[in-house]
Amino acid sequence: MLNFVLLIFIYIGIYAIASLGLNLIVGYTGLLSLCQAGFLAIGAYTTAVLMTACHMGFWESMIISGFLASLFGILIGIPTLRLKGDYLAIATLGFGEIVKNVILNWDSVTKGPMGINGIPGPSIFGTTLSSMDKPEWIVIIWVGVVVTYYFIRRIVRSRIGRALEAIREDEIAASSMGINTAKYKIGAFTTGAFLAGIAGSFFAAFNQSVAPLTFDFMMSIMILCMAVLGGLGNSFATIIGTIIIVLASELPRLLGISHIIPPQLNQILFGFILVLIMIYRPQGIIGRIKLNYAKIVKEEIFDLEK
Amino acid sequence: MPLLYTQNLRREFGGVIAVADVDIEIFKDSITGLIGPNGAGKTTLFNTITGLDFPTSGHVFFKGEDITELPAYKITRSGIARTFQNIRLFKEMTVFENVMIGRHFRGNHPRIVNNKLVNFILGRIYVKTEEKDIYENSLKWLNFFDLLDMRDEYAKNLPYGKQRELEIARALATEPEILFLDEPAAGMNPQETESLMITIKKIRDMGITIVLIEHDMKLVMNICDKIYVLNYGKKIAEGTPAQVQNNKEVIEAYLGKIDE
Amino acid sequence: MNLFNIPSNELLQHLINGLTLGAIYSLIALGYTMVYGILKFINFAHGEILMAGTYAGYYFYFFLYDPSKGATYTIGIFIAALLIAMTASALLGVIIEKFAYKPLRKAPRLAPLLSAIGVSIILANLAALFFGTKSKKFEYPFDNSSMQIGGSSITPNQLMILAVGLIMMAGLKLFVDRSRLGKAMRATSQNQPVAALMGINVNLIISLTFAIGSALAAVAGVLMALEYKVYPTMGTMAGLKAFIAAVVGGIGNVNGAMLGGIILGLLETFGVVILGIPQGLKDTIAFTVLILILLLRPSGILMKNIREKV
Repeated sequence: MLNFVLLIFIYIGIYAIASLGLNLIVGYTGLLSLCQAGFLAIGAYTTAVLMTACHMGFWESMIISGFLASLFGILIGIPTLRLKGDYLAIATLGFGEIVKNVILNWDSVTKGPMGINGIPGPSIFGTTLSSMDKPEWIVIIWVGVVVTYYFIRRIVRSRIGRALEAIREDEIAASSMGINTAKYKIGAFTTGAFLAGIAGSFFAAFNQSVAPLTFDFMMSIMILCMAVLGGLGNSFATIIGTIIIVLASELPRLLGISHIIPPQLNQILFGFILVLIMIYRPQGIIGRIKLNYAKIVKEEIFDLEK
Repeated sequence: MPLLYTQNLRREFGGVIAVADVDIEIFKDSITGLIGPNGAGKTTLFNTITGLDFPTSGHVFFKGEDITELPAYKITRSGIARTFQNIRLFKEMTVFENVMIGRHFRGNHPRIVNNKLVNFILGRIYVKTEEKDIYENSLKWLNFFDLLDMRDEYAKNLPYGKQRELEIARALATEPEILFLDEPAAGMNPQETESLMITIKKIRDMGITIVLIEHDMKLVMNICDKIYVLNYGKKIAEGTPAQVQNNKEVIEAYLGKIDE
Repeated sequence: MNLFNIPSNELLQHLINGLTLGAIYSLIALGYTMVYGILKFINFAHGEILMAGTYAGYYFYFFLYDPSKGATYTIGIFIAALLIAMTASALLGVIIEKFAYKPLRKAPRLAPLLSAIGVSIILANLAALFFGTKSKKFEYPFDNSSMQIGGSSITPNQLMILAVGLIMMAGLKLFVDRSRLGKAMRATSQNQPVAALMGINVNLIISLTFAIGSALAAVAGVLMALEYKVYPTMGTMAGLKAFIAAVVGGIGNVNGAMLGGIILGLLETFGVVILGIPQGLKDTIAFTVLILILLLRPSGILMKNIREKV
């Protein structure tokens, strides 16, 4: 039982990194991306291949995974980010499907539908972790969550965040204020992809295996639900949303009734969360926190100098 | 040489010609008016000059350089700012923040190359210097428009006339050499229009060239040095207010509207 | 004719295959495009509405199917099944619009899109729950052994798809161009507030648009089902591709949706043949086409380049 609770905490941490990244894209910048699972897949497979076929260590694989995911973020971002929201959604959805298809068919590298097994755990202070070492995993992953949280906090409270907010409000007005909107949009998208890549890397190393069908469209939707449920444009709310969604999807197992609850119920629940939240509480449970940038500058720069 | 001029500027939408081979010249420190009946292509002309739309053919030159193909943000950075006919403020942002956004790219400290993310994450000292500059300069413009008391209000909560002023403040924060105003007096009462006229002159006296689209003929005839008249996308007249007022074609286009 | 070294008899074969696929995409794409024209919104659940209607038609057909009663009977119940599928989809489309989209008409653009994604997930999983994930075979109402025409084999079902597709599209064209309601529909898509002022019942027109689009999707669903069976996610990929077809033709444009569907069907068929793209990566063709068209001609083939009004 305790083991299972620890497992849930690990999953919450992994998904939180990915959903915080998505919140930067959807919540702060106002772009609807439906391929967070695709970036997770890229991160997970990069780590899997580097650690099994190339015998690299976990930490360097993780960094490479993050950067490879963000490279794909740039590649998909450049053509699609000139588009209006709904086109972008479909294009990113398509990209996620392409990633899945390529992984399924690229047997020589990804081992196709079989997936990759026997991924070694990360070594830390001379010992190699396995999936059994859950407390250690919790520490590693939650340190990752905290770093991610402060990383995003720094971005959104800076001039970059101010520009992202302006772009979300009115892209045309922002561009006629001299803001290179494409650069900021691609930047946000790529940063979100990077974080998903890191989350994917943790995912692969913790489970010690990856399979292509894990990273399907439903996973993207689940991550989207996490950001929407808590409240878009609020990192703390995103973590709360992540906790609720992971708990909700693991609850049947937690209560020991998973054998009588069909797996579809979970997804139906996600569907209802999206519809009902949009109709009755579009700002999410906690809602967006409006940052006052003038106050931030005053408090963080002027007042500190006194 | 004019500060900004267009050469055979043309914009077609499908088969409709919105702007038909228009040449205009804007001289430094002048106030130029652009008038014409609704649908004459005035806003389209503004859009093609400011990079929000691209001309079908023709060129725009600013300070001797061809800026026709530049995207909007680069045009703004080169020194051209604008306001919009249907106010486009960042409605859910505060008055102060709106002006700060206007100054967004001006804060570039010479040491910062492309606003690198890492500088912001680490909170480098020159990022702070820039933020201070943005903050203080924005205050200056808020003060100029008497918006200091309302600086923490959301832009959407401002009265209409104040929203128009805020939009001008935001545009001025980009430190333009030319300011394009699209119907700045629309929806204003006579007193507000009166004070707007004074403000526009004050801005011109700061060394900022002004181009404006306006339907309020009293305002146009009072403050403009030169007026261009568009009708069905074509330039039908140009000259001083007096010359334009007596132009037969213009009177026909307006059917006596000028005498209002 | 010896294009890309394909023997001419095979060329005809691929052409027919591509056109059949294209006709199906076109029928589905019409729904996306009509809804987009009026509400400026992508009905993400369109593919699942198709699936639901197809199940309704399938069960009706399945319970009454009896080969011993002769060909006339079978074709009769098939046509009835088609009509039931259309009605079911139309009703579902209208109901979904009322409950999940209408409250969001004035919300930011992201809201109805997310709501639609939610609806599509609910429908696909409900279907899996009630009908099972196993795919079900939709028996042909006629003998579907292929005929040899000019060295290529063509099935009667392919001919039926082409014929039904053509009739439906011609019917829709006539309706939109000629009828009073069609005119009201076009007026609403051009300017909703003014259409309302002119006495057009905008809510009725929106419902009608959803009904017609959904019914056309159901037709495509049944035609697809004969060829590829019935299963809960049958509408998802077909829906996505049809959406791409709509974008290729120019979303919001009825002619564009038809043209885009045919183009995409041909590209997919010939992409596999000419470029040697493996079957497993066939789906990538459509998404690559989408990204290319968005890059080169974002408003689609048949649309004029109109920028957002500033």
